[in-house]
Amino acid sequence: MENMEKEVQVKAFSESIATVKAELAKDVVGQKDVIDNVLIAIVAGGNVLLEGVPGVGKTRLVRSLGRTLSLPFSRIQFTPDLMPSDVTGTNVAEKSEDGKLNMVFRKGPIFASLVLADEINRATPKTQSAMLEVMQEHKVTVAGTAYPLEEPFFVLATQNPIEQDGTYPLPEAQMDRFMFKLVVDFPSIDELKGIVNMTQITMDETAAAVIDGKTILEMRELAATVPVMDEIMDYTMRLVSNTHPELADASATAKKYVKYGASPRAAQALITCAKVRALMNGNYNVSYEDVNALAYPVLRHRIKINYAAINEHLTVDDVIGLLIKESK
Amino acid sequence: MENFIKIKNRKKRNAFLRSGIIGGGVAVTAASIPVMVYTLMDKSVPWLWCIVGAVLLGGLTFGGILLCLYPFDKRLARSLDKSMGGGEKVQTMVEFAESDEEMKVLQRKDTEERLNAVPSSVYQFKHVWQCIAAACLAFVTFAGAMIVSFLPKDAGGGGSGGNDSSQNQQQDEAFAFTEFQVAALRQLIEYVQKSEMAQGLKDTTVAQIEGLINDLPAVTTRNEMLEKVNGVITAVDTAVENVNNGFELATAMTMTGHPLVGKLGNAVGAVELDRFATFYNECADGFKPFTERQEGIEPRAEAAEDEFAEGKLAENNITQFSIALTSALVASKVDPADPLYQAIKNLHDKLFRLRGAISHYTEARWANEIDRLFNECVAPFTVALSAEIANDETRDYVIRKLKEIFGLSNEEAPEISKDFVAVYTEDDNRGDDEIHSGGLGTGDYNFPSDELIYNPATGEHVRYGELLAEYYNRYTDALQKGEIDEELEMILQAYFDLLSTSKKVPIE
Repeated sequence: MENMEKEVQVKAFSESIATVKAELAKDVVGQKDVIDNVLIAIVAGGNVLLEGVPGVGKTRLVRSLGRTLSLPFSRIQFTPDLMPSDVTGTNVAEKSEDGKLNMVFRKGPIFASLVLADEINRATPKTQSAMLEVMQEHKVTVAGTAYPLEEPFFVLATQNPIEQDGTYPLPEAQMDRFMFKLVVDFPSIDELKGIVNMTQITMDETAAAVIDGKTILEMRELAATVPVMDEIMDYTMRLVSNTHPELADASATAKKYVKYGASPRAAQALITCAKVRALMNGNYNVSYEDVNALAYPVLRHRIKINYAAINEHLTVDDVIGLLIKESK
Repeated sequence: MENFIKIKNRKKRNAFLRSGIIGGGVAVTAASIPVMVYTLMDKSVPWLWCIVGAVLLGGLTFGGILLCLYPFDKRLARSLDKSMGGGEKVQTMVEFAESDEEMKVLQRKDTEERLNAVPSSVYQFKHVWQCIAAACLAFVTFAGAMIVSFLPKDAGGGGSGGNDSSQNQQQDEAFAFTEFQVAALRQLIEYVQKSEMAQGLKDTTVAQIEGLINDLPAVTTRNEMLEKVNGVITAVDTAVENVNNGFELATAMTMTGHPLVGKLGNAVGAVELDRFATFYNECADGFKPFTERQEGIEPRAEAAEDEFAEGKLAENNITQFSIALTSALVASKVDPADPLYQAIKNLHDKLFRLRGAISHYTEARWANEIDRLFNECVAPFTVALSAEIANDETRDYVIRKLKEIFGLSNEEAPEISKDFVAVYTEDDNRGDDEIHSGGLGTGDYNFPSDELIYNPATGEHVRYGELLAEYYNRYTDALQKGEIDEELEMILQAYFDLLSTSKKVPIE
């Protein structure tokens, strides 16, 4: 009986994901991989950094996602003058009915389940660091009082890789808080045509709510039980370890092209997300393919390539490809 | 896991079958090839080694292939995953086969369903050609071995007149007993019957040769023939040696170290009567007054005179001679009825009787008495030695003829008893260097026996005596091998006789 129940849950998982994807497709043309990975991160409980030039649909994707998942959604447009309290909320003096002044905490936009941190690199480090606690611990502390956020909670941040003037690149510690860094590519001609055709009818998002936060939490629980065989576990650990050039048995690729490697969070993220990906694809176990496919979004922002790689016109993704080959 | 186990069992069966066929094929081939080779070489097949080797090789092959093919869980899971297009489903299933967690149970169920859909070609018996090749190879080699084993063996080369360049080639030759050989053997029998060989030996020798005539028609290979002929040679030689006791007596006497007994030993061991006479006379001279033997050597002659005057020399000589000779006769273990033994005993007894009369004789008379005594005793020696020499000569002739008739090389023939070689005591050389005759060189100078001279064969300096002994040995070897023709033999024999009769050839 229990097995039957589990089987139903697994089927429901795949169906839910398929439904979400179908709804998202109404508002977002193309970007299949980005959508898949965002969904994986959401189910796995991670934050996502979306990087792409303006106008490729980053914000639209996140908005549609919020609607589809029927989660409380808020958008924070990051600017240099944005203050931490603008994000987290602050205590304000409020007059009560009897005329007394009371300090009342007014929640900031971060108090939502799905937060779009638009152009996060435009905010000052001070404001950016205010996001750290929220992203990692899912709580806000103001004036010594901690305010927990409702689960599920995700931050989907965007950043523009081109305009760097007046920006504050995210520090490594903050980058590490993002489970994935997804690159939103410019759409293909067909996709572009689809976007234009769609927006000719209406600019509004039409995706409907198909699942809720509770379902996402159940999906997360279910994904955690997906088995990972030892060999794949070892391979994953080897892959993350191989990004470190400073280790005694460092990989040749890391020694040659990597300045510093990924944190243990990368290994955690890889396994957690690989489980979700396996279930999403209708599998009951994690495969090498799952790990390899997720290695790019997981490691992309966690490793820093050196000048040798840049000199040889290698991108981070190229180096990750080499590391995968070497770890096999 | 049901489907997985089913596939595993099929794979296991296939692995055993393939390794069994290939291992068996290797074993049969490994056994057949040596059988074929040994049979073709006409050698006896070492069956035990062939079987043990084949079983070992076959077992190793079987084990090796089984190890490579055996569907261990992980190995099979990996290959099934590969055939299912990746996903590591089967590997995960195998790893968590014992787990009861719901998701793992579901994973197993899902994988089992997918395994059900795996095409049977994945676990079918593959690479059949390997088994066919192994079986064919085994069949061909086995058939080859059988054919070779049952082929008639007379397909080899015929004539016996081939060069003895390769002994192996000769061993392979077939043998056919010819009319010529029969006739030659009959002539040999006639020769033996007419010879002066002892009658018992004649009978033995003739019986042996007739045995050859009877046995050889059934012999088909040269090896068998060699076995028979060599058997006859050994039998004749042993028979002669059992009758001839000269070698044993001579050896025992020379071993005593007594100079006069040694001389008598050399006389008895001489293979020719001339040489016997020389040694015999030397022995007789040993009992005479020193002045009779070595005139002009004052110091020793005077000493000898003194000794003689006191009547000690002859007495001491005879007493010591008697002791040494008696011990030699005992040590020889020769039957006292042997004629040569009797002759020696006769000489000893007469000499011993004469010992008491020495004080009554003058030097000249004593010398005459010694001569007379030795002359009286020589006849039994001559008769006994002549008989032994006749036996030896007939034996040598028979062996030489057998070798000729059947084309035996010296290496193929068995080693026969060697002739006695005279042994000289140190006393023979002591103080006699001045009158050493013969020797090596230009003739203007005679080498003393212990003087170092250059040996051209080795490039070293050796004692003259050693070199001469070596030359003599070479001469006798060459004579035995038939490498010296009659004319040269006469010259060389005369040369060595000359040296030996002058008593100065130190042969060790």
